[in-house]
Amino acid sequence: MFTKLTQRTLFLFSLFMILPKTTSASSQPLRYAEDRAPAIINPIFATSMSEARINELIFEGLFSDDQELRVQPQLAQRFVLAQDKLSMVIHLRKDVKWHDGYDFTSEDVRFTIEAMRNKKTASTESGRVQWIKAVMVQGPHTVTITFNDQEFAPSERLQFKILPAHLFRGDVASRTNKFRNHPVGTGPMMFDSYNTDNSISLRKFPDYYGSARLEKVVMREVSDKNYQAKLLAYGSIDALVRVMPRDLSVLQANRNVELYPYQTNSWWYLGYNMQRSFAKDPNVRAALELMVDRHSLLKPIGTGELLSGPFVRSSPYYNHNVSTSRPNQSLAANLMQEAGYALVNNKWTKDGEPLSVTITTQRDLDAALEVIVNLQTQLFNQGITVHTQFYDKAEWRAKIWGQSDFDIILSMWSFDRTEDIYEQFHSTGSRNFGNYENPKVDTLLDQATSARDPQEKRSTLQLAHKTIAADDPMIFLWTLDSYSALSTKVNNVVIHPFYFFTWANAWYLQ
Amino acid sequence: MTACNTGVQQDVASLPYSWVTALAEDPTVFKDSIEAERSAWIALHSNDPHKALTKSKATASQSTTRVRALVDLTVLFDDLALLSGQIQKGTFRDTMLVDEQDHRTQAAIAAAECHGFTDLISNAKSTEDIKLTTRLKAHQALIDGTLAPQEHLALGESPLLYTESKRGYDPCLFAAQRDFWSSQLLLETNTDGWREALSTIKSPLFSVWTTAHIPPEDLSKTDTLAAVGAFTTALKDQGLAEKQRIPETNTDAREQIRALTKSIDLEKASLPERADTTGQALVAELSLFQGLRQKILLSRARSALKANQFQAALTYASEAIDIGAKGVGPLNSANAFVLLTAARIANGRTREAMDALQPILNSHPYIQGLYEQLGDLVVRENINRTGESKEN
Amino acid sequence: MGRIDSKIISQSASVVVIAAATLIGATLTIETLLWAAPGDPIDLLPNGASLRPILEIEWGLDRSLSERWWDALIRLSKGDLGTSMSVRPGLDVWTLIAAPVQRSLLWAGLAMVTSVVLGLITIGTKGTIHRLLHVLGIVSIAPLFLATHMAVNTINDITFGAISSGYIDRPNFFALPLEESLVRTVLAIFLLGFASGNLYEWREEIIVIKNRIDTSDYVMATRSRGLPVWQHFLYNAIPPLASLVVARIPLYLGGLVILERLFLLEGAGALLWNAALARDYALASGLTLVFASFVIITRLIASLIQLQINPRHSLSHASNA
Repeated sequence: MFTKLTQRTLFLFSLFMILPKTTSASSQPLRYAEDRAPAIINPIFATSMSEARINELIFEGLFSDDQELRVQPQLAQRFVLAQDKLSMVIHLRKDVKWHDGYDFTSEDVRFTIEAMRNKKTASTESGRVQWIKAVMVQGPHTVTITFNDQEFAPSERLQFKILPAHLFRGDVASRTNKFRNHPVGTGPMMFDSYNTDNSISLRKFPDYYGSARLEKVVMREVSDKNYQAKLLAYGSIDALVRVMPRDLSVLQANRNVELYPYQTNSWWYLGYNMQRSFAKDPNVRAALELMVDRHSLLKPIGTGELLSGPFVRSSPYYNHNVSTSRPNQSLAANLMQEAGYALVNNKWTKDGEPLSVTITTQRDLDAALEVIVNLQTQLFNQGITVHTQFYDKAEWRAKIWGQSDFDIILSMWSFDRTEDIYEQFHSTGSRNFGNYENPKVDTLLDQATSARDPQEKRSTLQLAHKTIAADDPMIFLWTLDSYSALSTKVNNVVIHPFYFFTWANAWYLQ
Repeated sequence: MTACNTGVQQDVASLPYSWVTALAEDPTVFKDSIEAERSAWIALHSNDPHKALTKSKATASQSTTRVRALVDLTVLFDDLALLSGQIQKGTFRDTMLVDEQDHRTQAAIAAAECHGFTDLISNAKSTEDIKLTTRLKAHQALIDGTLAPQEHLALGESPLLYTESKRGYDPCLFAAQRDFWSSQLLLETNTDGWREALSTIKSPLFSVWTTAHIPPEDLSKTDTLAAVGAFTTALKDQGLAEKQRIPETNTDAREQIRALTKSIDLEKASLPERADTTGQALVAELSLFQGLRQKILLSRARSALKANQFQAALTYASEAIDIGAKGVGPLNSANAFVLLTAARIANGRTREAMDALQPILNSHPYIQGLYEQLGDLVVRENINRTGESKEN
Repeated sequence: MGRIDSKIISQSASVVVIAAATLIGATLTIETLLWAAPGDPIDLLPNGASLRPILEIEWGLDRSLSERWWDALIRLSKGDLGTSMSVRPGLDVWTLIAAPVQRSLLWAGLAMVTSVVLGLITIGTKGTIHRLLHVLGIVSIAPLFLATHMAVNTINDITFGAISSGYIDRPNFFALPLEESLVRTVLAIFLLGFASGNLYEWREEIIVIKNRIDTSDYVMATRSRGLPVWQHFLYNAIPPLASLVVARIPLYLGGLVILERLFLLEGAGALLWNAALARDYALASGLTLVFASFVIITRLIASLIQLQINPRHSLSHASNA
């Protein structure tokens, strides 16, 4: 059987070798890979990073980050902030055209803000305009925005993308509008086609007011992440948004590929549901932490750093005085005994019931399977039975986010550069699925939110790190090395640390 | 991976005959030459000049490793001074705390660049100014030779520097230390300038030179100690440094790096024809080509930073660092992290700059104050932004 | 003649009833399955909780299962498959599925042709090839999809290694998911025609049909007269083969769902998979309906062919084949 299979394999192999090679044309597109294709190309309905990235090529905001990450006018030309900091007048560029040839005007700005605010639109991005009180058109290229409260740097918050009013009716932008089949923006690239292979083609917008050097861009969906690095190495794609940690060394050694750090503020954790009886006992939480050997869990999945709290090690809020705990079986055993458990048949048992927990994770979290299987073995060897559960995204959102129905979850959080953990750890936080509650932490997080002095904010959050770490609502695991990879054919690459394509109009292919 | 087709289109010559190839061809000479100061050489190879200094013989006239360690320390603190200046400039640039014409802004920038102390001290008006100038006075004393080096080092390593008054954090600390180490270098080698001091070095082992000996003609052409090795005659002869200057664009810098990398690959690929297995194994085990490549790129990165070619600097520094190797060791020097941090700040990537500096925090506790100041800068820049978090 | 007309009318009516029942059953099944699966498309939105009141109404998720199902049927009767909710939010389902469905049906059709051809070869050959196909037929009962997937990965790895070490230039390789690859598609079709018992079943069925025809009076009579028998053969084999095609179509379509995932082909099966994961109710039921309709239509065609060849055959019987 094996010989036959080998023969067949070799036969197939020889067959592939004689196939013609794909020819490379001079106007080759920039082909980049995403795990999942953008579902919708409309910035006010964006839900995923893949959508945020493609929006960056097609649409523009009033303001945008320059290459030094300072806010600069994009569709705006200049602005005047009122003395009382309660309103601003924005003068718009007059040389901007939409991809369908219409002129960009202040009506587009008004429409976008109103549509995002409009409940009927059900925008996923509505939070971005909550601070705006009203928007008024003052002239074809002048618009006034008033705020609910004083704003000292409103341009920082006016980076959301602007939509063409002429393609919508009234102040509602519905998902089903024909816009979704043919999105129109003002950016350097214009939508070309949705292709049958799930890819999306964009081409250069000839009337772009600025310069754009890429002729074509193609987004390719590669749902199997194991292929992504190989595709890049083979030259089948030119950019890989996020490299799996285990592929880093291979790609670094590849002379056709260059790596760029991208989205580095992410950390993994095991989170307890604090309402489960076993997790209510701090001794049990602490004991479990001492049973987990994070180093050997991390090793098979890539390189990174172990953490002691809810920030990555390089964060300004990370408290370096809190050390990462090391596995310690005897100490863990003492804590379990203090919690009223006894070892019966090598199982930690209380009131006749052996301790058994279910660890739940998301199916599409890379390498989660490896982590969870190793973790299961580690805990089993120390007297705890672990069941595992893998949820798809919808089930995860419903059961974990919605109902907090779990014992322990294995998951990961990614943060933008503000590294705001309020929603995760404040007792009223919308992402505090484990129902963690500590009034002291609440106070610290409130203080940090309102702090305007950097040092005060830092010391407050460093204290929050320490306090949270002492409570063990999670076993903080690690941060993985995170890089994008681009072919050396792509030149003049500068990557935005969060949105990736912000400066892609300067890139070019050679 | 050496046989991989490269993205670099032009033909590239292999690397000039360097000490790496010389070593591969005759490993016994290498073994003999390091025998006398073995642990100091190991420390130099591991990019640990502090340790190399303690392990070397007591006087520079007897010890190549000692001179080399002094040179490395001077350059390390020069890089730290550069970084310190970038942080200081970043803070003032991004916050616009005060008017640029204000004497305090000027004072801070001057301090970052470590010049004009005398004026600053005499112009001190407020208590804040005096706090700042107290430390500057100490540095001036150090530079003038009226403060004992030990006192200064104690000052540098003291955690009090940061905690006693965060606002009074001294941006000039590292420049003063650089000056201290460079004075020490001249003192110990009994020379009048760094070129002369460098010419006393007997072995270029583990250094930036792409030659088997340190070439005097290059020393005379190089402006500063920090730029040594960036664009040597040997590299120029091979077409690997034809411009002798820092390219203006990121793309040109990248092209230059690709050519250099390819030439190193070619040299590496030619080793089996020249060296026996012992020599080849030695080169591979000690990652000598990687180390050499990094040193050349870092030298270019610092030159680019000093020439205000920040994008090129970022490209050099990013390409220099080995992302697989954590912390300082044979594959990454502390300079690599420091320069990458400085280049990122110069390009406005302050948050990512912290990613670059954090790995050496434990091994170099004296950068704590610098790191904290960078942290403040990051927080300050984002204080008006609203946060976003995502799963996966 | 009048008797035959009325028979056809009554049989046509029963075909319509069966078709309607199939469609209703299919929609009900998929709606129920997705309804029972935890989470809905609103859960997938980051600010889903705050958007729920609006989107539930917009997407009809505030209604009971029976109401939703009824709505779907009403929509369907107007030829409207609805709008995608989460896979391509806002896009008309017809537009979304047209190309992938065509591709998948083509693949399924080609796979079936492969099965038939392989089956016919089996009965038409002797010696080693016959024995080999017999063995393959038995092997094909095993779930080979996974094994093939692994083989594909192994070949990839070998090639990757060979390229990296500079032994070969990059071939246009079949398993690269991004490239239109004839080889990958052909392999998938071949596998679908061959694996999971398809070849085995076809082979067995074809042998049975052959034996039946072989031993039939008219073939024996023809043979005794020394005339060629292949025309009789073909003519008589069509009806049972048609029923077999009809019976196995759902299996082929089901197999495609798995194969498209494994071979990274962009067909309707992969789309259905994504729709289920993203709880895109409209898309999932749209795809199911199209598949169900296709099954019904092929059954009908098969019946008509049989009726043409053998008027005694009943339509409804054929539809239930």
